[in-house]
Amino acid sequence: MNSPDVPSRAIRVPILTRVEGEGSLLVKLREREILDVQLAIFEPPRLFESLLRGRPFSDVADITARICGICPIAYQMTAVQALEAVFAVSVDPEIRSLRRLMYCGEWIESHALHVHLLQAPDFFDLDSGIELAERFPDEVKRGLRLKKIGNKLLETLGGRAIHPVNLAVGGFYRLPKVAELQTLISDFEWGLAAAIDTVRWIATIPLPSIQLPYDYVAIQHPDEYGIIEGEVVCSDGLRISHHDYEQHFGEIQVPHSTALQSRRVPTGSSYFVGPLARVNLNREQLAEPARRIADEIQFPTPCHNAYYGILARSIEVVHAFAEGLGHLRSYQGRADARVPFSVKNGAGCAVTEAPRGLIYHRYEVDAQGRIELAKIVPPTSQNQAQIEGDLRALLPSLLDQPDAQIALNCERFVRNYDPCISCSTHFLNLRIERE
Amino acid sequence: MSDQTNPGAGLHPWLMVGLGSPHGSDRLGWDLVQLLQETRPEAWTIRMARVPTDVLDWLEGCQRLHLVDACPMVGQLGRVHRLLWPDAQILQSRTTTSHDYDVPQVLQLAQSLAQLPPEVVVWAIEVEANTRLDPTPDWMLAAARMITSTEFCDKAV
Repeated sequence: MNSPDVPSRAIRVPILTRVEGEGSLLVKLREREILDVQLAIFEPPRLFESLLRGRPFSDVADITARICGICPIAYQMTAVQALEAVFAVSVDPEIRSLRRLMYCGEWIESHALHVHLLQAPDFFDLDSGIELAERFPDEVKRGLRLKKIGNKLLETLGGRAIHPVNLAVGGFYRLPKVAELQTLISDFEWGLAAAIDTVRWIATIPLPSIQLPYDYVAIQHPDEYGIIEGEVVCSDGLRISHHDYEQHFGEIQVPHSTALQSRRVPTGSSYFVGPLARVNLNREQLAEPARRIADEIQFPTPCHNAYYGILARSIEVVHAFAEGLGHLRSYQGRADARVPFSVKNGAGCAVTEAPRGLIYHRYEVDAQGRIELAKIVPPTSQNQAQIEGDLRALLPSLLDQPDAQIALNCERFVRNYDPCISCSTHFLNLRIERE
Repeated sequence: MSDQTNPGAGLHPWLMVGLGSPHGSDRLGWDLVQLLQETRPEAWTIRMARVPTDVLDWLEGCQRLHLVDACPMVGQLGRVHRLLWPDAQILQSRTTTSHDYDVPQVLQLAQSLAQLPPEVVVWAIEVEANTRLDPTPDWMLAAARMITSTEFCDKAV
């Protein structure tokens, strides 16, 4: 019962570490009652959507790549595909294959980094990847080599490592030479075996036990693991075309955050996007080596334990290497980097699966190809409300701990989501206030 | 702009890396190594990194690693600090970063994995958060000249 006579306390994580971007966490408590949980994102709004208005469509991929230094491909790919929807462009299978390959590179790079340097230290009660490297040097070296291969692929396909410039409406600006991709095959063969070993290693780590009623949301495609296109599906049975995304998912403002929070419409409920959602919803479409290792470690499906995100992420690294290997081996090269198209006015949208989860873009374009409206929904803003809800559920089990330990455990829990606060416009500080 | 001006497929024994991001004057590291590209002796490889952990990808066979990065202004805009690892100032320069691991952490990680090159230098250039870098300011040209005269001339190849 909320009593004004009982002092409340606030637990703060002023800087949430080992996440991308800057934010903080505030937990307000009165005795054992949780008064409030706020995942605050205080990076200033970056206004990319407004920045795009009036720009030629050809600028969009380069500008949206700047939203995130970690996963620029996700932004570029979604933007390009949304614009292709506007201009009724249909890319051929070879370009599509290269795009999936590019996405595999981004998943490998992002996931390998998160698994080894950002999250694994938590499960050994270590403060950082530096301590983890002292205890598990071979595993950390392996993880860094996996990450390096992802970056190498991105550099090859994206033209450069930072803010790749090669994706274009209709295809690419420049296609890789066959030899350029063939040189990556041996790396990917090593990477596939190493990624499987990584899953086996992660599976030996005792993960905390928690069960929460998650509403998972991900892209699903009938013929492949959903990455660059498909229907939007939810674990409650909703299955919609991506064209109807905004009818079922809406963004709201909350006072404590500069980032918008996405909720289900009309219920206003939170939902969960990312690797754990994808593996739960699309396990049967994982590449065979990934499915096999998921079976070997007895990964539960459905899985309602957010800590298993590290395993889902590791399984997706296996998938990305297995799928990527197929694309590398099948690439024959071609003359035309892009399919021809005509600029016209209209509207178009697209969804893809960034490493951290579903991403949605919609654009309206005038007859000259200038952007009239842009809407960008990144994964972390979709997970934000879910993170706050999870912490509310988690906190009762932590309340007997000292504030510093509560703060640490909350911070660790947040890392399950690999939040990219910069993306959602937008490091986590945690405050706990006890009245 | 290229982040990999002389990439080669192999190792980078002498490597200079500009660290940066597209946000405000944090791009200083990127812009500065672009300027250094023009005076770079062949033995040096110049690259740009999105996040400090990118550097871990390039340490195999590296003997000299130089990092060029912006640091908060405490004295004078454009003042250049040449810090030789493990200078205490590097270790103390923990930042709240939008990156995953900051420079001291990445160097400590490399050290714990026995991957740190024998020579590691951090070039830190003082800058305010929203200093204009375009057109290239005189203090930035001066910083490039200082790095050139210190590294590219004194140790002629």
